[in-house]
Amino acid sequence: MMIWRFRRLIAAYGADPARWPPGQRGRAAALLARSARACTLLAEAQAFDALLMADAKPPADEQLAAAIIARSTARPQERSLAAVPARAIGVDWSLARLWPQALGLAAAAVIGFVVGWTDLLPADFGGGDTIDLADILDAGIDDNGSPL
Amino acid sequence: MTDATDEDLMIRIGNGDRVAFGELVRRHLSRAVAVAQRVTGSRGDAEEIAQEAFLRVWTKAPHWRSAEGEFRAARFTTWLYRVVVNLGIDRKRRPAMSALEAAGDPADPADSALRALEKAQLSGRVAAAVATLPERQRAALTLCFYEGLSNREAADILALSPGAVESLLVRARRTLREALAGVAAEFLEVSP
Repeated sequence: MMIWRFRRLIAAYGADPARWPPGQRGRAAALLARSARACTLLAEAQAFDALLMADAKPPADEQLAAAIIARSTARPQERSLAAVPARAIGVDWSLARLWPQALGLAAAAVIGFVVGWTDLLPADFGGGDTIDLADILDAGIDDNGSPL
Repeated sequence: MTDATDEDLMIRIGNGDRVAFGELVRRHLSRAVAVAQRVTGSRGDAEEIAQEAFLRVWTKAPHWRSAEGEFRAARFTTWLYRVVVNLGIDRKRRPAMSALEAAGDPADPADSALRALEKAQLSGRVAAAVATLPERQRAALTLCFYEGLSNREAADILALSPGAVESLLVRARRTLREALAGVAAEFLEVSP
């Protein structure tokens, strides 16, 4: 490791090798073993680290932990999708559940076929007042094609 | 406390295990509060943020098993501290709520009065200097220096590259070194 890289290393992470990226610890140690300048830089960084650590935060107390546990566990948990039955989040296509719908569909088809085959409906059913598609397309425009 | 990993505890919590939740809270609470306190500058806000973060742990734990989404993809600590940092940054952007909290923590009664006063003053000056850092520099310094997370973990939490985190750390420490130059001289005189 070059001295400029070591300087950057401690400028970022401080003097404690435990905070250095693991891949650079060995090379930094090798540099420290041969460079007095590196040792001086490390000592300066140690002093600055100690100053920064003057702002240590006290640990959280048990009372806070107990309050958090009590308040959190009083609330319901969200349900996992993995725990929800498939039929609750989608369509169940199993035959066992679909047979009533299939039976109804088949009955409707048979009735429709019989009605059509035997001509049971009156002759004028659905006849008479038919709507011409051209009337729909022409609605709202005059004979010249301009809007009314 | 057991030897169970955080991830093992999360699976148990997902099944409604309150004991596992208590163990996870006690394992990470101090660090979560410390991270939030450095990001917000307020102990009261930090405790509320920790409470909100652990409430999310409890309510969302069932999704831990589903192997879907950000929650399962991340390591538990990465996910937790990302929540804490983001809640802290959001809180920090709100108007200040209490001038009293800015006075800092009370001195440790076990120390002699003079020593405790010096210690509290020093702590307060360092904390004030840290509080003036831009939020991402402050978050990077908190995670890597104060809480001992690796560069890569901090990068995951802050959604940055490891190189960007290193740059934030360099700038943060340089700013603090300048801001605390006078304090450092006093500190070095009184330190053994």
